[in-house]
Amino acid sequence: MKKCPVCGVSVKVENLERHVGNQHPHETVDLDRVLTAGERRAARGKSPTRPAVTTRGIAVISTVVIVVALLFAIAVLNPFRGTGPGVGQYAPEFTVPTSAGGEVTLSTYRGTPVLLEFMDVDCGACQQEAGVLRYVHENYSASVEFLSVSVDFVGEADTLDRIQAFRTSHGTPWTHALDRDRVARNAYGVYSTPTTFFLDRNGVVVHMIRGSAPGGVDAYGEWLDKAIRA
Amino acid sequence: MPTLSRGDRLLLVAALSAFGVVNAAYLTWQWYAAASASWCDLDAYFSCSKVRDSAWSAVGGVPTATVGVAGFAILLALAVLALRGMERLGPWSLDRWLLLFALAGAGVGAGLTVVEVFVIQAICILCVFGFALDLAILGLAVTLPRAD
Repeated sequence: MKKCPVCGVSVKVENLERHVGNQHPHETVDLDRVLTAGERRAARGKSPTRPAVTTRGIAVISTVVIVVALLFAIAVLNPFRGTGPGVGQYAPEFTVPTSAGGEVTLSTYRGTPVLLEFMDVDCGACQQEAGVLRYVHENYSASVEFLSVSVDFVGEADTLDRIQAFRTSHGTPWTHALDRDRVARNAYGVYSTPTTFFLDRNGVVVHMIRGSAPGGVDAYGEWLDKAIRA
Repeated sequence: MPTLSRGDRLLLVAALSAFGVVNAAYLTWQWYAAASASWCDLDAYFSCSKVRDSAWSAVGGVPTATVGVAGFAILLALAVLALRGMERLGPWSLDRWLLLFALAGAGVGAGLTVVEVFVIQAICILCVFGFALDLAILGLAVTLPRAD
């Protein structure tokens, strides 16, 4: 430690030069008279030298940061993902395995209106909606095909066995399937469950509901009637 | 990069490491909250969800991405220490520590990428993004001792 020749505060030898420069910028201090040659050498050896960041470096780093941030944002927000069909557009085709065995292809329902539900076995809203849909199915099964497709969003991984168990326990007798490769999910732009599409007999989207139907059975009835009349 | 000083390279390592922390933290968060609307699925092959659903996404209930958070955080800390003028940490120089952790990160990233391509058969773009950050940091760490 050395006393500062200006203020008298005790300062580490290696910090004395910086202290004088920072605290007493207007004072002219000859450190050679305060420190011995050995102390100055030792101070130089101990004093951390911060590596210099150049202006050119800042420019390069700023560019890299902007590019990386853009790439990250694109990957996270994924503007290229499917937005799904809008009302009046044809519902995209897909083939997925069913919980009862075999596969189901959407176009095989052509000629009949379809209620297409994207769900998840572990989704609480889907479990509640199953009771509503069961009631709707009892009233519309003669004129509308029902199809529930698990997109496996939350909780334990949905398997065909788990979907079949869901179907049995909730008493929902229509076809349930698993979108294992997420082809249907991406094609329909499904990002939450349940998401329900109402298709007319030509496979054109009449309406779409994200989440539980706000009006319950009545809402389903209203849109299924429109799909039947379309 | 012959025109970048040692300080520039260290700052770049710090910036890339910070992105690595954010990226790995986002992947970790997504592992716990898979129903998010911002998940990076392009199709059946470029699918973060498919990788997330695989057995490789977690070890003992802990998401693999947490390793990335820790690794990038260590790289960030080392770069900041070096920028503050520290030269040695324990027996080794900071340059050597940076190189060691950058090598480890790139090694883990390469291994997980091989698993994605050949075992899971799906690519998680954000995981590849993290691997690219690892490689860039490794490249900078290799050149650090020669930088002025």
